[in-house]
Amino acid sequence: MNPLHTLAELLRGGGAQPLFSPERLAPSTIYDLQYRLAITACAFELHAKSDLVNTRRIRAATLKLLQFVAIRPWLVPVLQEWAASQRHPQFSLLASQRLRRGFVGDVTYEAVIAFLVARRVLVRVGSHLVSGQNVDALTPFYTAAVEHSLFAAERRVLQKLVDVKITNSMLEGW
Amino acid sequence: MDPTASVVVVGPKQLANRHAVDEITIYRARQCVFMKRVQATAETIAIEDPKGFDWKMQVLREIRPDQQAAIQALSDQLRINWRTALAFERELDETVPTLHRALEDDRREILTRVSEVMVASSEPWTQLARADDIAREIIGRDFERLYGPLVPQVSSGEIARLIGECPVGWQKRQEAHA
Repeated sequence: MNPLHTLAELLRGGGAQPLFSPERLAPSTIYDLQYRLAITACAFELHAKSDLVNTRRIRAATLKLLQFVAIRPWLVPVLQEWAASQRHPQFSLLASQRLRRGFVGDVTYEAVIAFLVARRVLVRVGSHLVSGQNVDALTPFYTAAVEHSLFAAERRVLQKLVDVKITNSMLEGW
Repeated sequence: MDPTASVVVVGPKQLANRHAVDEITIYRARQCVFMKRVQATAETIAIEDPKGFDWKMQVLREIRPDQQAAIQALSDQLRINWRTALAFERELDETVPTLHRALEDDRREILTRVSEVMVASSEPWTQLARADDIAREIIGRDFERLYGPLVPQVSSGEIARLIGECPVGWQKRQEAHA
Protein backbone atom coordinates (compact mmCIF):
# COMPACT_ATOMS: atom_id res chain seq x y z
CA MET A 1 0.00 0.00 0.00
CA ASN A 2 1.16 3.53 -0.74
CA PRO A 3 2.75 4.87 2.48
CA LEU A 4 0.84 8.15 2.19
CA HIS A 5 -2.47 6.30 2.07
CA THR A 6 -1.39 4.39 5.21
CA LEU A 7 -0.41 7.64 6.90
CA ALA A 8 -3.76 9.19 6.02
CA GLU A 9 -5.59 6.19 7.52
CA LEU A 10 -3.55 6.29 10.74
CA LEU A 11 -4.05 10.02 11.23
CA ARG A 12 -7.75 9.87 10.49
CA GLY A 13 -8.29 6.90 12.81
CA GLY A 14 -6.38 8.57 15.65
CA GLY A 15 -8.22 11.85 15.35
CA ALA A 16 -5.01 13.80 14.97
CA GLN A 17 -5.28 17.55 14.82
CA PRO A 18 -3.79 18.94 11.62
CA LEU A 19 -1.07 21.55 11.62
CA PHE A 20 -0.32 23.19 8.35
CA SER A 21 2.34 25.83 7.85
CA PRO A 22 2.06 26.99 4.28
CA GLU A 23 5.32 28.96 4.43
CA ARG A 24 7.51 28.40 1.46
CA LEU A 25 10.12 25.68 1.66
CA ALA A 26 13.63 26.99 1.11
CA PRO A 27 14.19 26.98 -2.64
CA SER A 28 17.32 25.46 -4.11
CA THR A 29 20.30 27.79 -3.70
CA ILE A 30 21.39 26.82 -7.19
CA TYR A 31 19.05 29.49 -8.57
CA ASP A 32 19.85 32.17 -5.97
CA LEU A 33 21.68 35.06 -7.64
CA GLN A 34 23.36 36.28 -4.43
CA TYR A 35 24.62 32.80 -3.61
CA ARG A 36 25.93 32.20 -7.12
CA LEU A 37 27.60 35.63 -7.15
CA ALA A 38 29.30 34.85 -3.85
CA ILE A 39 30.59 31.48 -5.04
CA THR A 40 31.76 32.94 -8.36
CA ALA A 41 33.52 35.72 -6.42
CA CYS A 42 35.24 33.18 -4.17
CA ALA A 43 36.33 31.11 -7.18
CA PHE A 44 37.65 34.20 -8.95
CA GLU A 45 39.53 35.44 -5.85
CA LEU A 46 41.15 32.09 -5.17
CA HIS A 47 41.97 31.04 -8.74
CA ALA A 48 42.37 34.10 -10.98
CA LYS A 49 45.98 34.99 -11.87
CA SER A 50 47.40 38.50 -11.96
CA ASP A 51 48.85 39.61 -15.27
CA LEU A 52 51.35 42.25 -16.36
CA VAL A 53 48.83 45.09 -16.66
CA ASN A 54 47.66 44.62 -13.09
CA THR A 55 44.39 42.93 -13.96
CA ARG A 56 43.33 39.46 -12.93
CA ARG A 57 42.22 36.80 -15.37
CA ILE A 58 40.93 33.28 -15.49
CA ARG A 59 39.89 31.02 -18.33
CA ALA A 60 36.08 31.25 -18.52
CA ALA A 61 35.62 27.46 -18.76
CA THR A 62 37.88 26.95 -15.73
CA LEU A 63 35.82 29.36 -13.64
CA LYS A 64 32.65 27.60 -14.75
CA LEU A 65 34.04 24.20 -13.78
CA LEU A 66 35.42 25.42 -10.43
CA GLN A 67 32.19 27.05 -9.26
CA PHE A 68 30.20 24.01 -10.45
CA VAL A 69 32.26 21.66 -8.30
CA ALA A 70 32.43 24.12 -5.37
CA ILE A 71 28.67 23.80 -4.78
CA ARG A 72 28.78 20.02 -5.31
CA PRO A 73 31.64 18.90 -3.07
CA TRP A 74 31.01 15.21 -3.76
CA LEU A 75 32.34 15.85 -7.29
CA VAL A 76 35.85 16.76 -6.07
CA PRO A 77 37.15 13.17 -6.41
CA VAL A 78 35.67 13.02 -9.93
CA LEU A 79 37.55 16.15 -10.95
CA GLN A 80 40.74 14.92 -9.29
CA GLU A 81 40.42 11.61 -11.13
CA TRP A 82 39.79 13.40 -14.42
CA ALA A 83 42.84 15.64 -13.93
CA ALA A 84 45.01 12.66 -12.97
CA SER A 85 43.92 10.63 -15.98
CA GLN A 86 45.10 13.13 -18.58
CA ARG A 87 47.86 10.81 -19.76
CA HIS A 88 45.26 8.20 -20.69
CA PRO A 89 42.92 9.86 -23.21
CA GLN A 90 40.41 7.02 -23.38
CA PHE A 91 40.07 6.75 -19.61
CA SER A 92 40.05 10.53 -19.29
CA LEU A 93 37.03 10.71 -21.58
CA LEU A 94 35.11 8.14 -19.54
CA ALA A 95 36.08 9.59 -16.15
CA SER A 96 34.89 13.06 -17.04
CA GLN A 97 31.77 12.27 -19.05
CA ARG A 98 29.15 12.92 -16.36
CA LEU A 99 30.92 15.93 -14.93
CA ARG A 100 31.30 17.52 -18.37
CA ARG A 101 27.67 16.90 -19.23
CA GLY A 102 26.61 18.64 -16.05
CA PHE A 103 28.79 21.71 -15.95
CA VAL A 104 28.47 22.47 -19.65
CA GLY A 105 24.71 22.75 -19.17
CA ASP A 106 24.94 25.09 -16.17
CA VAL A 107 22.93 27.96 -17.65
CA THR A 108 22.44 29.72 -14.31
CA TYR A 109 26.17 30.36 -14.16
CA GLU A 110 26.04 31.81 -17.68
CA ALA A 111 23.34 34.21 -16.53
CA VAL A 112 25.47 35.25 -13.52
CA ILE A 113 28.47 35.91 -15.78
CA ALA A 114 26.31 37.83 -18.28
CA PHE A 115 25.18 40.00 -15.35
CA LEU A 116 28.76 40.58 -14.16
CA VAL A 117 29.93 41.43 -17.68
CA ALA A 118 27.02 43.83 -18.18
CA ARG A 119 27.99 45.56 -14.90
CA ARG A 120 31.63 45.67 -16.12
CA VAL A 121 32.76 43.72 -13.11
CA LEU A 122 34.32 41.22 -15.51
CA VAL A 123 35.27 41.61 -19.13
CA ARG A 124 35.37 38.86 -21.74
CA VAL A 125 38.72 38.72 -23.52
CA GLY A 126 38.74 35.78 -25.90
CA SER A 127 38.37 32.62 -23.85
CA HIS A 128 39.16 34.45 -20.60
CA LEU A 129 37.34 36.54 -18.07
CA VAL A 130 39.34 39.54 -16.90
CA SER A 131 38.69 41.89 -14.00
CA GLY A 132 36.83 44.97 -15.25
CA GLN A 133 36.59 48.55 -14.04
CA ASN A 134 33.97 47.59 -11.42
CA VAL A 135 35.72 44.47 -10.11
CA ASP A 136 35.67 46.04 -6.65
CA ALA A 137 32.00 45.10 -6.52
CA LEU A 138 32.98 41.42 -6.54
CA THR A 139 35.67 41.47 -3.87
CA PRO A 140 33.34 42.25 -0.90
CA PHE A 141 31.50 38.99 -1.52
CA TYR A 142 34.71 37.09 -0.84
CA THR A 143 35.92 39.20 2.08
CA ALA A 144 32.50 39.06 3.75
CA ALA A 145 32.41 35.28 3.28
CA VAL A 146 35.80 34.96 4.99
CA GLU A 147 35.04 37.47 7.79
CA HIS A 148 31.70 35.91 8.68
CA SER A 149 32.67 32.28 7.97
CA LEU A 150 30.07 32.01 5.24
CA PHE A 151 30.13 29.36 2.51
CA ALA A 152 32.95 27.59 4.38
CA ALA A 153 32.34 24.25 2.64
CA GLU A 154 32.41 25.83 -0.82
CA ARG A 155 35.56 27.84 0.00
CA ARG A 156 37.21 24.69 1.35
CA VAL A 157 36.53 22.92 -1.94
CA LEU A 158 37.86 25.86 -3.96
CA GLN A 159 40.99 25.91 -1.81
CA LYS A 160 41.45 22.18 -2.34
CA LEU A 161 41.11 22.64 -6.11
CA VAL A 162 44.08 25.02 -6.17
CA ASP A 163 46.22 21.87 -6.14
CA VAL A 164 44.32 20.25 -9.02
CA LYS A 165 45.83 21.01 -12.40
CA ILE A 166 42.99 21.86 -14.79
CA THR A 167 44.64 21.85 -18.20
CA ASN A 168 43.56 23.49 -21.43
CA SER A 169 43.11 20.09 -23.03
CA MET A 170 40.57 19.16 -20.36
CA LEU A 171 38.49 22.18 -21.28
CA GLU A 172 39.17 22.08 -25.01
CA GLY A 173 36.22 23.29 -27.04
CA TRP A 174 34.15 24.62 -24.10
CA MET B 1 5.83 -10.41 -23.90
CA ASP B 2 5.36 -12.55 -27.00
CA PRO B 3 7.11 -15.91 -26.32
CA THR B 4 8.23 -16.02 -29.95
CA ALA B 5 9.94 -12.64 -29.75
CA SER B 6 13.64 -12.66 -30.47
CA VAL B 7 16.28 -10.23 -29.29
CA VAL B 8 18.49 -8.45 -31.82
CA VAL B 9 21.55 -6.60 -30.60
CA VAL B 10 22.77 -3.75 -32.83
CA GLY B 11 25.75 -1.47 -32.38
CA PRO B 12 25.49 2.31 -32.08
CA LYS B 13 26.33 2.95 -35.75
CA GLN B 14 23.76 0.44 -36.99
CA LEU B 15 21.19 1.92 -34.62
CA ALA B 16 21.90 5.45 -35.88
CA ASN B 17 21.66 4.28 -39.50
CA ARG B 18 18.39 2.44 -39.04
CA HIS B 19 16.51 4.77 -36.73
CA ALA B 20 16.27 8.46 -35.91
CA VAL B 21 18.52 8.81 -32.89
CA ASP B 22 17.83 12.09 -31.18
CA GLU B 23 18.53 13.31 -27.64
CA ILE B 24 15.40 11.64 -26.30
CA THR B 25 16.51 8.31 -27.76
CA ILE B 26 19.92 8.70 -26.15
CA TYR B 27 18.31 9.54 -22.81
CA ARG B 28 16.12 6.46 -23.05
CA ALA B 29 19.16 4.32 -23.77
CA ARG B 30 20.81 5.75 -20.68
CA GLN B 31 17.64 5.45 -18.62
CA CYS B 32 18.53 2.13 -17.00
CA VAL B 33 21.98 3.35 -15.99
CA PHE B 34 20.49 6.56 -14.62
CA MET B 35 17.87 4.72 -12.60
CA LYS B 36 20.39 2.28 -11.15
CA ARG B 37 22.57 5.21 -10.18
CA VAL B 38 19.65 6.97 -8.49
CA GLN B 39 18.88 3.81 -6.50
CA ALA B 40 22.54 3.42 -5.53
CA THR B 41 22.85 7.10 -4.52
CA ALA B 42 19.61 6.89 -2.53
CA GLU B 43 21.14 4.18 -0.36
CA THR B 44 24.09 6.37 0.58
CA ILE B 45 22.48 9.81 0.75
CA ALA B 46 21.81 11.29 4.18
CA ILE B 47 18.76 13.41 4.93
CA GLU B 48 20.28 16.60 6.29
CA ASP B 49 17.89 17.41 9.07
CA PRO B 50 15.41 14.60 9.77
CA LYS B 51 14.43 15.95 13.23
CA GLY B 52 11.10 17.39 12.07
CA PHE B 53 10.16 14.14 10.37
CA ASP B 54 11.26 12.04 13.36
CA TRP B 55 9.26 14.24 15.73
CA LYS B 56 6.11 13.91 13.62
CA MET B 57 6.49 10.12 13.53
CA GLN B 58 6.93 10.13 17.32
CA VAL B 59 3.70 12.11 17.72
CA LEU B 60 1.99 9.61 15.42
CA ARG B 61 3.19 6.75 17.67
CA GLU B 62 1.65 8.55 20.65
CA ILE B 63 -1.61 9.06 18.78
CA ARG B 64 -1.73 5.45 17.56
CA PRO B 65 0.11 3.32 20.15
CA ASP B 66 -1.70 0.27 18.76
CA GLN B 67 0.01 0.66 15.36
CA GLN B 68 3.72 0.73 16.25
CA ALA B 69 4.79 -1.79 13.60
CA ALA B 70 2.76 -0.13 10.85
CA ILE B 71 4.16 3.28 11.77
CA GLN B 72 7.71 1.94 11.70
CA ALA B 73 7.18 0.41 8.25
CA LEU B 74 5.51 3.59 7.03
CA SER B 75 8.31 5.75 8.39
CA ASP B 76 10.97 3.53 6.76
CA GLN B 77 9.21 3.61 3.39
CA LEU B 78 8.74 7.37 3.44
CA ARG B 79 12.41 7.83 4.28
CA ILE B 80 13.42 5.58 1.39
CA ASN B 81 11.19 7.57 -0.97
CA TRP B 82 12.50 10.87 0.38
CA ARG B 83 16.10 9.72 -0.16
CA THR B 84 15.19 8.59 -3.67
CA ALA B 85 13.73 12.02 -4.40
CA LEU B 86 16.94 13.64 -3.13
CA ALA B 87 19.09 11.24 -5.16
CA PHE B 88 16.98 11.95 -8.25
CA GLU B 89 17.48 15.68 -7.70
CA ARG B 90 21.22 15.24 -7.26
CA GLU B 91 21.62 13.14 -10.39
CA LEU B 92 19.70 15.68 -12.47
CA ASP B 93 21.70 18.52 -10.98
CA GLU B 94 25.00 16.84 -11.85
CA THR B 95 24.17 15.72 -15.34
CA VAL B 96 21.12 17.53 -16.79
CA PRO B 97 20.82 21.01 -15.22
CA THR B 98 17.93 22.00 -17.49
CA LEU B 99 15.83 19.12 -16.13
CA HIS B 100 16.89 20.04 -12.60
CA ARG B 101 15.36 23.44 -13.20
CA ALA B 102 12.14 21.74 -14.30
CA LEU B 103 12.15 19.66 -11.09
CA GLU B 104 12.64 22.79 -8.98
CA ASP B 105 9.65 24.41 -10.72
CA ASP B 106 7.63 21.22 -10.16
CA ARG B 107 8.44 21.29 -6.45
CA ARG B 108 7.17 24.84 -6.19
CA GLU B 109 3.94 23.88 -7.96
CA ILE B 110 3.47 20.80 -5.75
CA LEU B 111 3.80 22.94 -2.62
CA THR B 112 1.29 25.48 -3.89
CA ARG B 113 -1.32 22.93 -4.96
CA VAL B 114 -0.93 20.69 -1.88
CA SER B 115 -1.25 23.78 0.33
CA GLU B 116 -4.45 24.75 -1.45
CA VAL B 117 -6.20 21.40 -1.06
CA MET B 118 -5.11 20.81 2.53
CA VAL B 119 -5.90 24.27 3.83
CA ALA B 120 -9.29 24.23 2.09
CA SER B 121 -10.29 20.81 3.46
CA SER B 122 -12.14 20.25 6.73
CA GLU B 123 -10.54 16.79 6.83
CA PRO B 124 -6.96 17.37 5.66
CA TRP B 125 -5.96 13.72 6.11
CA THR B 126 -8.29 12.70 3.35
CA GLN B 127 -6.22 14.96 1.13
CA LEU B 128 -2.86 13.27 1.79
CA ALA B 129 -3.55 10.62 -0.82
CA ARG B 130 -4.65 13.37 -3.16
CA ALA B 131 -1.38 15.19 -2.44
CA ASP B 132 0.43 12.11 -3.69
CA ASP B 133 -1.69 12.16 -6.87
CA ILE B 134 -0.94 15.86 -7.35
CA ALA B 135 2.82 15.28 -6.99
CA ARG B 136 2.65 12.33 -9.37
CA GLU B 137 0.72 14.34 -11.95
CA ILE B 138 3.11 17.32 -11.79
CA ILE B 139 6.34 15.33 -11.78
CA GLY B 140 4.96 12.87 -14.32
CA ARG B 141 4.25 15.71 -16.74
CA ASP B 142 7.96 16.51 -17.02
CA PHE B 143 9.61 13.18 -16.22
CA GLU B 144 7.26 10.33 -17.13
CA ARG B 145 8.66 9.97 -20.63
CA LEU B 146 12.27 9.76 -19.52
CA TYR B 147 12.20 8.31 -16.03
CA GLY B 148 8.71 6.84 -15.75
CA PRO B 149 9.48 3.99 -13.30
CA LEU B 150 10.98 6.46 -10.82
CA VAL B 151 8.05 8.89 -10.85
CA PRO B 152 5.86 7.20 -8.16
CA GLN B 153 8.72 6.92 -5.67
CA VAL B 154 10.03 10.43 -6.35
CA SER B 155 6.49 11.88 -6.04
CA SER B 156 5.91 10.12 -2.73
CA GLY B 157 9.38 11.28 -1.64
CA GLU B 158 8.47 14.89 -2.41
CA ILE B 159 5.42 14.66 -0.13
CA ALA B 160 7.61 13.01 2.54
CA ARG B 161 9.89 16.03 2.15
CA LEU B 162 6.92 18.36 2.75
CA ILE B 163 6.19 16.40 5.93
CA GLY B 164 9.84 16.38 7.00
CA GLU B 165 10.72 19.96 6.16
CA CYS B 166 7.67 21.66 7.62
CA PRO B 167 4.39 22.43 5.89
CA VAL B 168 2.41 19.26 6.70
CA GLY B 169 2.21 18.30 10.38
CA TRP B 170 -0.07 17.05 13.11
CA GLN B 171 -0.52 16.95 16.88
CA LYS B 172 -2.63 15.13 19.44
CA ARG B 173 -6.14 16.48 19.48
CA GLN B 174 -6.67 18.61 22.60
CA GLU B 175 -9.39 17.25 24.91
CA ALA B 176 -12.25 19.68 25.41
CA HIS B 177 -12.71 20.66 29.09
CA ALA B 178 -16.14 20.37 30.60
